[in-house]
Amino acid sequence: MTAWRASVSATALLAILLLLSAAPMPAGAQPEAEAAVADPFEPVNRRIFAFNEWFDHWVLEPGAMVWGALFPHSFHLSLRSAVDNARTPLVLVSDLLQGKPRSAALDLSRFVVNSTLGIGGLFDPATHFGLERNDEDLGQTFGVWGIPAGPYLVIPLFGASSPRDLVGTIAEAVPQSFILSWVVNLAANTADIVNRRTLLLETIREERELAFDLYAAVRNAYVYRRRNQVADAREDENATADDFYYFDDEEEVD
Amino acid sequence: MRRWGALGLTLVAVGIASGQGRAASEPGPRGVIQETVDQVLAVLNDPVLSKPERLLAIEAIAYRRFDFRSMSKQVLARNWKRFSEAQKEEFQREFKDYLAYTYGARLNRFDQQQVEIIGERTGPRGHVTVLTKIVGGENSGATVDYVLIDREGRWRIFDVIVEGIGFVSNYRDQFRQVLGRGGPDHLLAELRKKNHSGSPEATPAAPAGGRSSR
Repeated sequence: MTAWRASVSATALLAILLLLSAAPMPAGAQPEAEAAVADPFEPVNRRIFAFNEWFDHWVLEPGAMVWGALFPHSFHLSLRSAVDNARTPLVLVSDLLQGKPRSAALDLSRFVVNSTLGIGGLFDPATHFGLERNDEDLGQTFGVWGIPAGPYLVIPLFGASSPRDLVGTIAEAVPQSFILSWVVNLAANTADIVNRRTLLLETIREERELAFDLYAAVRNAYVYRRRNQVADAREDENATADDFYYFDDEEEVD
Repeated sequence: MRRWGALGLTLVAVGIASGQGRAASEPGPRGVIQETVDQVLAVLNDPVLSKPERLLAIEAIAYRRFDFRSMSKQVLARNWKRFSEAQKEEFQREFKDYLAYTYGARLNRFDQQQVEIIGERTGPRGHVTVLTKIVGGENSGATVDYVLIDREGRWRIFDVIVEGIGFVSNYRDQFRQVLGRGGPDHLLAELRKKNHSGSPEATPAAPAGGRSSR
């Protein structure tokens, strides 16, 4: 049970990330057969997406606005930094599982520097010393191992995911649920989610305005961003298929 | 002989430097991206400009560098054929404004960063992808790739891929949905709505500036 709660929070985090890249109105859109991204559950996904949007509109966004008014921007940044720092051991595990000892060493140094000099991660002196943040997680690790993402999923309150990423997210939430009591867990995760949403208030508002089909935009952003992260970890030469673009000489193709 | 050789080289160099507009002097894909990035950074780091002014300035850069005709075709892909000539014209016009605005709005979020060109790769059909990375600031490490194509001796951008998320693929998916709902006329109406919703202080010089950014 605790794992589930924790995983919910972790997923919500992901959901926010997703929102970052998307934006407008799913006005009763018709699912289309010819989609670039595998989305066999599109009708169900769209419903859940609409629910998540509703939840964001009435709960998360207003909460984030209050949070934004209560604390200064520097506080929001520091809190996010501290949470990222606390999560570094998980990143380190993924570094190791992907067979990247150098990244693991780097993340370990980051963790030590930021936990001490950075006062528990509230600041990020490591980056100033040239120790740049790695962005790894279990879902990516599974991808590097060659496990396919599977169909696109929208999880209630969590947002965009896939079977592979969902398993990764839940597995990553387990240790946290053992270390902290569920009350602390819930409070910490809620604060983190609201805080991140605060930092994205303008971005998400703007992206919502820009999008023609928010659902498709978020899905596309999620799927391609994850693909990119996995390709990066494998050091693939080219993440984009060669036949992706149409050129003049073949534009009459149908 | 050596002196003449050196003089010859100098003359060639001067010729290249002053021969603006001639194909031989046009920068390659990497050079185009370097120039574009330098211009965008100059705008982002200009302390005098307000946010809306920065947005307009970045839009102006996009107007010069992007190949909007290619982008329009790429984005509509197979649906391009469903558009009449007039609809194609209108789509290109409206999409150009929309794209320039979008590019400006997204880059406008970044502050005090550096951009490093980390590589270049040539696709099988002659398009070149220039890979860049953002260094410093809140988005440090983010990758921004530019895909360029040679248009009569000039390298023009026709896709921008931020963290793996490409403009072309993103809008291709979205437009496919919109087209599925109502065909070309519906999509054109939606585009017009996006471009003309916003503050009344539209600037004629940059039509997309008519939208309020905040």
